[in-house]
Amino acid sequence: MRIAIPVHDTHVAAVADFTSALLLLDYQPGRQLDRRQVEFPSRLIPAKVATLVDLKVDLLICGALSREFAAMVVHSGIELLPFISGSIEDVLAAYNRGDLSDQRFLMPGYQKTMRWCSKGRRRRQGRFGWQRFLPESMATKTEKGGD
Amino acid sequence: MIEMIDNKKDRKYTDLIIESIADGIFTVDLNWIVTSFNPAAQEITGITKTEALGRTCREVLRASCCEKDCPLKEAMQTGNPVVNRVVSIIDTNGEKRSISISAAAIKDSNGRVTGGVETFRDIGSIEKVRDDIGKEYTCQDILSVNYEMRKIFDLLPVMAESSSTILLEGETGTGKELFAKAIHNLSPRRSKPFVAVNCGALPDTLLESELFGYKAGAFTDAKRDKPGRFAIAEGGTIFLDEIGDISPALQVRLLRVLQEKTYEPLGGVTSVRADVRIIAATNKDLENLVRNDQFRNDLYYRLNVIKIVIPPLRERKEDIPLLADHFITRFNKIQHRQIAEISESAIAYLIRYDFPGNVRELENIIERAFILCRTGQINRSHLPELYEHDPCEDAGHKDCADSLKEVEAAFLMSALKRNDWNRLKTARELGIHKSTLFRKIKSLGLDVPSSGKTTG
Repeated sequence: MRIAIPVHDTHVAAVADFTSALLLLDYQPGRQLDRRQVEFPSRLIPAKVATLVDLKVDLLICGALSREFAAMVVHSGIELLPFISGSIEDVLAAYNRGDLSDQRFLMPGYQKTMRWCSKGRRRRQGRFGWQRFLPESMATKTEKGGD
Repeated sequence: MIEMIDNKKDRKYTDLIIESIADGIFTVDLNWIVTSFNPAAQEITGITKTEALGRTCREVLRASCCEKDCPLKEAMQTGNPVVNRVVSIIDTNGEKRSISISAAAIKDSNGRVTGGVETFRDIGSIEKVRDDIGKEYTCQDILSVNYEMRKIFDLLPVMAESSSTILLEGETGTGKELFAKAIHNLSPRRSKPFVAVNCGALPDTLLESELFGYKAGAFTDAKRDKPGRFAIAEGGTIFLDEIGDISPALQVRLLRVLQEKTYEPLGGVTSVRADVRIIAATNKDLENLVRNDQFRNDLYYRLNVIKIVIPPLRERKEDIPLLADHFITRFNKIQHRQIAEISESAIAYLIRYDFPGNVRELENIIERAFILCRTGQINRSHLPELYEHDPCEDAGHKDCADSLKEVEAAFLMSALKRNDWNRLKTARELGIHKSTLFRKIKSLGLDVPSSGKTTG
């Protein structure tokens, strides 16, 4: 499984739309096989999504992102785990443990953003990966478009 | 630089002020942790105060400048405030918004930096208001607040409905082709081609074959039929720019197209029927050319069915701020830049200039300013030297930011002129009380001809 994380220095970039560096990880549960950093060749959103597709990314873990970017990623069949914040190592360790729903890894205002992010989820090819990390009560609410 | 408030009472007042300000404001400590967050900041970002406090500012603001070009970092490192930097943010609805940011360092009584304060304003909504205002003064792609221009705007749809030939007269750079396109787009022919030909750019013989096309064998190397611009524009509109430059021989051929609605391609033996609307344009005084026998009078009368005279920019200086703003928006889009505005002193400087190259020259000036301007605002230093001596500086004025007054003066004078200097009529037209008009005339020092009547 290939995971991509837009990064800045040692942490997950605050906004994927405005970031040029991308960390790529080939991952199997419990261990990382390979790890390298690449640059998005363009700052335009469609070009960024095309790069993710070309790089055969399965999962995008990122900070905030625009609706446009989110829709394109999901339509491309890439699993999206957005509004994540923190240092790369902490985030990866939490991902390994299945612990990314911990408040300290979620960006402020994530509840509001997840509401629009979850809409139309079923119509799309990809999915929003955070659903499986959330407490069941929250996942059910957001799926219905509620709080 | 902002000095930290030690006194508890003062602190309380400061908090009250911050809470009531319409601009978004937040403060951070030395670790970029948000320590205060006002209601306007909540409104713009979509993040509540509770969510924001204790988080890093980059997680809260989510701006394009956060990781590479942080204004707060710059202000805290240099001690100098950063003013009006235009950036994008992603709000909690996933929408990209343009904001203007200013930042300053917070220092304690010993001058040590203890944090920073950032203020920001949503300029997306300002842009929307600008768009809404712009619509009122827009006809297709032409913008103007000038009365003469708006009279033309009102007539354009009517003119466009008919198939009559139109003659556009105006100095170079006034946007004659834009008018021709606007007429075409408003006409029933809009789904058919719009073909523009610059008659002054081609030698006579070439222009003839270009306009009417040629048949195979018409001349050496004419191996195949070539359709002319009239054939390409069939059903649509042909725009003949610089019509005053065509030769007498071509004038005769063009007259035939206008009279008979037919033409013969070069080397052809049969006439071709043309269903094309002709819009001609010139920067010369055709009437004068007719008087000097340089232009056929019968062609002039055929062309002059409807005449539109486009006023030069120096006669509609009130359009300069609107046009400058329009070009800034356009170049921002084309060049992916984020220039917010042009300063008042820069507008004042432009308004004193006569623009022999008209709107095109203004466009070039703004384009040049885009190269030099690295901040959010175009100011006087980004503009070229337009006069040998700046009349404003010569007059000894230190502050040249009189742009609004100058625009207002130009606007009032044009309104007074078209109402035969009648103040009451002018006040009625402008929807203001006559005493307001008198006060404005006096305060602006306008020299209104005494022959004008003061009662309606």
